Amino acid sequence: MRMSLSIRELWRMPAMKVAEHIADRTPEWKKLEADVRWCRGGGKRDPERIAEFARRYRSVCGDLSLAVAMRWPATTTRFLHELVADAHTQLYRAESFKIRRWGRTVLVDVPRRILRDPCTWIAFVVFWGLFGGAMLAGLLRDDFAEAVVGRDTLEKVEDMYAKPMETGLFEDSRTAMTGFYLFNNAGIGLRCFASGIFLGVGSLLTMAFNAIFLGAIFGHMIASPSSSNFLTFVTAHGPFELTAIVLSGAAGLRLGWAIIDTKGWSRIESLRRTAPRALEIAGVATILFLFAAYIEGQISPSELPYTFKALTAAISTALLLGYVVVLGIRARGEPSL
Amino acid sequence: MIPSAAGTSPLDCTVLVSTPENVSFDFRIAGPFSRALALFVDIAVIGFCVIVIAFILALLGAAGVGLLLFLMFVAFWGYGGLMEAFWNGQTLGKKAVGIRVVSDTGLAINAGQAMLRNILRSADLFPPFFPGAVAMLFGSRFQRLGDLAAGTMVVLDGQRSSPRPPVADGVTERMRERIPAHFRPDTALIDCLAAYVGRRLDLSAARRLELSQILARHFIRSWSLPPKINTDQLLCAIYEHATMDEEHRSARRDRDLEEDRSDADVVEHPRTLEDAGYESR
Repeated sequence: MRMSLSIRELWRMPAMKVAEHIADRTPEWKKLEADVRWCRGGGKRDPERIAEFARRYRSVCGDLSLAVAMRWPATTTRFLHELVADAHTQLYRAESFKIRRWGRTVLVDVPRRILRDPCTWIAFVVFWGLFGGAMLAGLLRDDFAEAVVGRDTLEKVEDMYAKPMETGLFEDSRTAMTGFYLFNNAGIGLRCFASGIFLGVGSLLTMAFNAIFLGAIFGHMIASPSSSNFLTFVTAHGPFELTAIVLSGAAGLRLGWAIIDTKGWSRIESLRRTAPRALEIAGVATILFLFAAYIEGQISPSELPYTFKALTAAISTALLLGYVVVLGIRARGEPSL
Repeated sequence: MIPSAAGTSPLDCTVLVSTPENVSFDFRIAGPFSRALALFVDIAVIGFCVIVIAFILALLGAAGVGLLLFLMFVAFWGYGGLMEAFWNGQTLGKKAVGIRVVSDTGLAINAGQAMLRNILRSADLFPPFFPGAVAMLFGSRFQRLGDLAAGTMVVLDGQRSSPRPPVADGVTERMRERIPAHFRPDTALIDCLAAYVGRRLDLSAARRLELSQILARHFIRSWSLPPKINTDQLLCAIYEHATMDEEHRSARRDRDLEEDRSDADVVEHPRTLEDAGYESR
């Protein structure tokens, strides 16, 4: 209200020469520029200055209206456009980063969404179905794994598990392996999520490829003489790692499905509304990859007895079930997909 | 209330945003090439940091390799998102090039938008099709897929023009008096005059005369002004006249009638290019 009044006053006043008016207002514009810089510097603790900034911003908005209406010179109008845009971006900031809100997202919103989203179950079935199928094929036919994985890779895998864990595999490079597993696997997970934007096809292909690749190796190694070494290694981190791939794929499918089933929005608007929620699921998947990388680097190659590794896997599975099922069901309210 | 400027928006890549203050301002959209340059700078910065850190961590042996890979993961996937989230939509590369990410509502972006658009970059750069580059060709905001999903756009920033007042200095009352009181220029003419008046100080005096002649010739003919009138001052006076309201105009007319009429506003026009401010090589 106050704003429109002041424009009206300016409109009615005996016209100053434009040059004079601009010269009069320039100090105020310079002050607003300084305010914008101050806001960008993160200085947000001084309420008086913020109030002053808001007031000044509104008065410069008036100048911009006047400049456009009265056809001030292009350079000045351009300057005011930029100044108002910068100040606007600072004044109407989006919500800031709040730990508590993120805690709620991770512990309440995401489990509920994971449990009720059909994309999760499609991803689950696709991954585990193909994984199981490839494992069976690898078990039953000697040449399947070789056809899928390739001779060289298969030989490397066989070499790796030729010796039992008790001899201290990767003894001196466990931290390095942890880093590598995070960099490699979590990177694959994020790419899997991102490629979901191609109508979900990218996520499906990434999941399918990993399921068949890993399944074939599993089947081959279980049938091989060093199967006990292999199983001792993969048991502990398996639950977190494989669930993380499924969740990455599910997040990607959610992203792609938003473009197909728009629920009445335009395709881009539908994508925009869904993407933050899909990103949260991908974020949880990345956390799981981090856990898995730690276990894979530190516990899996250690000389600890198999029972301990199996216990790790059991606890991981229990945690995952507790997270998705217990927290998911407990969280009341409409699912917001 | 305020006459709208509809139909006069430039053919530039701008996006109009309306604020709660009931004004509209526009952002200038950054093109693909400045964005590619910013990306290149960012990649160079990350690469340089990774190499430096690698040398330092090499002292730690295998544990250092693990730490390095962890940092590389954070750098590859988090650099853009974290920088943009906590540094007002800019990475080092964007800062260097002078562009900024804002939400397509004109607001600052939040952390989620920043992370999303940077994680989706891997889909945008998917070889061999580079879907992000294709997506930029559609729509008016050069948004890649990550921008579309996050609802963001990249705008020009930091190349702020100066608010310099249009200098219509030294317009004599005699010159003002030469403009017919009933003269009402149309908006296109006022814009043209405003552009001239806003920039005339960048030009030499002779060049001003040369340029202003092109438009002023028309007025000299139709208002029967002396052919050697100072056309620079004439355009300034017309601009002043055009941006003045009725009340003020008539007050000025009354006052002007009292003053004497000299021919001080007549100058010698340049006849040659050298006169007009060109330097011969």
